[in-house]
Amino acid sequence: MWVVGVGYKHEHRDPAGENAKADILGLGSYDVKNVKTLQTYVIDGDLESGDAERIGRELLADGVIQYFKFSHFSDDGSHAAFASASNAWIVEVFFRPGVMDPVGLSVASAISVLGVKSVRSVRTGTTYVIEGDLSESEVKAICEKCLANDLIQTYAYRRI
Amino acid sequence: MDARHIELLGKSDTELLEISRMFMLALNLEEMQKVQDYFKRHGRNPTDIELETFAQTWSEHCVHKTFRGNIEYNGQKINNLLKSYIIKATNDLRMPWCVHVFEDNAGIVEFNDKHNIAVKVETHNHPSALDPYGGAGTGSGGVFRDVMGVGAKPIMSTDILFFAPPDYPHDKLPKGVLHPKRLMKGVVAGIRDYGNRMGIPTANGGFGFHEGYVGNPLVYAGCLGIMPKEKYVRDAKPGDKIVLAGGRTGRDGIHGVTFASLELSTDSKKTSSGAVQIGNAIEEKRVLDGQLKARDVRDVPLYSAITDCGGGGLSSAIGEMGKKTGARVWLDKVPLKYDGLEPWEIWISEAQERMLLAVPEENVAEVLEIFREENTEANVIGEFTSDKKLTLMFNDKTIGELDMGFLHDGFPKAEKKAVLKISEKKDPDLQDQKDFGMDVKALLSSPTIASKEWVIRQYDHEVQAKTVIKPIQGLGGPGDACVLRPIYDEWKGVVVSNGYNPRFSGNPYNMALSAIDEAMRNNVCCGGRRIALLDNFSWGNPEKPDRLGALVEAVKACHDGSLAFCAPFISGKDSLYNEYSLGGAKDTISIPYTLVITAVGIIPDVRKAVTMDLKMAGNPVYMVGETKDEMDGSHYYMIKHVDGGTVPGVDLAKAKESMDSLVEAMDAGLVRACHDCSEGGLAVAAAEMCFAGGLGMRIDLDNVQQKCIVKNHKLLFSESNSRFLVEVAKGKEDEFENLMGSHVSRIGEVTQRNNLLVAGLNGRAIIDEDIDDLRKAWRKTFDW
Repeated sequence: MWVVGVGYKHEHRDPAGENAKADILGLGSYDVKNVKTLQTYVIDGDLESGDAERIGRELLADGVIQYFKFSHFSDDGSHAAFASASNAWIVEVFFRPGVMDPVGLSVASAISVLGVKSVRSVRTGTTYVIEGDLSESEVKAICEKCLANDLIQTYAYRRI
Repeated sequence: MDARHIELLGKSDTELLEISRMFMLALNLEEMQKVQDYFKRHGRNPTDIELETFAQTWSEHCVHKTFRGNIEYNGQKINNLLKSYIIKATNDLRMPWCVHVFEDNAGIVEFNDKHNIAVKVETHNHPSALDPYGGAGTGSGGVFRDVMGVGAKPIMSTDILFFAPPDYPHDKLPKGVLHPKRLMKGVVAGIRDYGNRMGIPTANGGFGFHEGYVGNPLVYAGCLGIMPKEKYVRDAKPGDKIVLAGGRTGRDGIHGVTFASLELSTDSKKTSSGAVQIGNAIEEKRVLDGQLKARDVRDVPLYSAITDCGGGGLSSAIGEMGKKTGARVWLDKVPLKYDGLEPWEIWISEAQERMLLAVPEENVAEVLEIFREENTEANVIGEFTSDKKLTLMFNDKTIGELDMGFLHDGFPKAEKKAVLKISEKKDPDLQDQKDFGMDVKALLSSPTIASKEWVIRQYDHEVQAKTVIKPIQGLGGPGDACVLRPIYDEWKGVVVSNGYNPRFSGNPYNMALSAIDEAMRNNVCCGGRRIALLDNFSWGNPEKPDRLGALVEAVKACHDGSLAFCAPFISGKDSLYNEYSLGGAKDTISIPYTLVITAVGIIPDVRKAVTMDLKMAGNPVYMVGETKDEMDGSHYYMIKHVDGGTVPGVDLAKAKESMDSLVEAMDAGLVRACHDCSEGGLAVAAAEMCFAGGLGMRIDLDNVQQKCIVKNHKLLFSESNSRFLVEVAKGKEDEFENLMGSHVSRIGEVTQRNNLLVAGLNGRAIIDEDIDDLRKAWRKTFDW
């Protein structure tokens, strides 16, 4: 399994991140300096790293304003380290198993159109990089009240 | 996989109820007894799938027990609220342009000599409360399929949303309830993604905010489609194959309603793919393209009937389609998303993006090939028979057999009691003020009135290139209705608008009349006429007599309004039981009674459609209609935190006459701009026209036609019905006044100055505000 993350280049705005930051600040007085997002795609299939790079470059990222990174998917979330920041929390939000993921379906069929035929499925999610001085319980509250809907999504967080 | 037999014969009443509860059937004792009788007559016990079929077919969602049941109201017996009032008005009006009304998935009216339009509005409240994004998206997908289910092509969507105020305090939020701001963002994103991805413009809509929606947000999704007249078919014949096209079937939406009524626990870790679904618009687009091809590839459609799989899934769709003939279904032939589904789960699954077609044997191969070409699945899953029975099979074994007649007509009529409670309220009689500028700005910033540009810019309202009059007009002002040109080489257009006044719930009869008047008004503002109406009720628990009494009053108003305006109802829907409890209280509170009226008119030439932005300095400004002391439920009292007075009523004869004359004036080219006076009254309407046109306006309240008002604030902010502000072309004053007769008063003129200037009853200026400041106030609330 591979994971590809797509974020906005430093010099470009990240509207989803700005939106998330505004929503978090709307919840209460949290010390949040910045929020960045990466659209995250977990690709289940026997890929070469060259395939993963091609999928990122030709399909998932808009090279003008976005960058992408990829790595092997790991359950402990260490792949998320490709989100560069310090003194930050990383939050990953994914759909629960069984929930329809139409974007994932479209990406899977597009990968096959690219000529990469070994992909079984694609799940999409969002990685948030939240910079700021936050306690674990605060991060948990932010996830529950704002970033993930427990009914259809799961979330995981860790500090970097 | 096999069906289970359930011991029903010989069970006591308590045991029957226990069975209903255990299998989540939501059938009451009387209904369970009827089912028991049926199987006693047949001398056997039912299978699980048979019980589920009754539960689905007899559910509130499918048969509208309240609207079709018996009601005792103030000593009066009402047998079938829907037939006695709403459908009765339509039947009495006998409009020749009503083609199929109240009988199919959507109401169908004539558009021109070759085409009909189909319209439907639905609610998707519970799913949207749980998962706003998925709930609203599947709501859109569902209403698009309703229009596809009569064979029409969806060409626009309209969505009306109700939430608690977006600044609702987090600490007051009941447990397990999502914050209104989060709900609103999710719902808007769901509607956006489904409509935009499918290429259907979301070109009209509305918002209402009230604390009463905190536990029960309301999401109304509407859709309008167009179709060639001769392509409407609805006649499944014995021998026709049942073809299921589109998405695969999974456990989606099984017992969704029951799930929704449980309290949500925050530590719930189970997979809840059952009740909550996310739509796949791309799949629905493929199905749509396939079905249009199957419709148009020959002179007559390749299918003999078509419908969508919505609430109740296959059980409702096939049950309904095969009502007159009979049907045999091979459930093992239904393609599944994953293994392990029980036959009854396949039968009632509400998986999205599925359409059901009845296809004559000789066309089956061609239909299947058409869907394959569109990259979607289609499979034969059964056939229509002539035995008037519903037969369910799995791997060649019969697992259910029911009489269609009993299934559709056997349910016991509900008996309910209703009373009316209206409390008289004293008017708070506010002090006069020297200046009302701050009040106008506060009203413009209040959520219901404030600019929804943040929402509108996310929706694609232009795709398909048919939208003529769009949601934002002039330099930025709120349009009253949307005008579409459905056929590219004709100027004839469709006008779509909505009306709703939940703040007038204190008097349900007047609330409903106001909603009708507002929907009509908005339509007329753009030049709409020959108007058809749709009703959509979201209400509290109808088992409580006061809620039901209010419903009866609102339904009576629909009847009276429809007849008076000569505007027949063509379709409708209801969502009842919208109640919640605050802070663990035992008694639940109803949402404000919310009736959304959707009006669909036509305009012979879209080039004559009128917008609301002021056009030229020097033009006179007229007011149509009379302003009355009707302040209860007004936005002005809301921002002043006071309560009382009278809810606005409608003088139906005058309203009809003045609207007809106004349309005539538009056709004669006398009207340059027109806007209705609704939330916030005259002052807000005038402000909106100013900043939309980038021009000023001078108004003298002394000249406003009114009844017994001595206070400035009532003239400025009363929300009396049937009123319009109209900018008339200079030099056409006499012509306009002759046409409008006693319905108009000349109250001011458009000015070159950049301000809204209002002279009060004492002759002094009571509002003098820069239009840029007014626009800023209007825009700031949803600057998200």
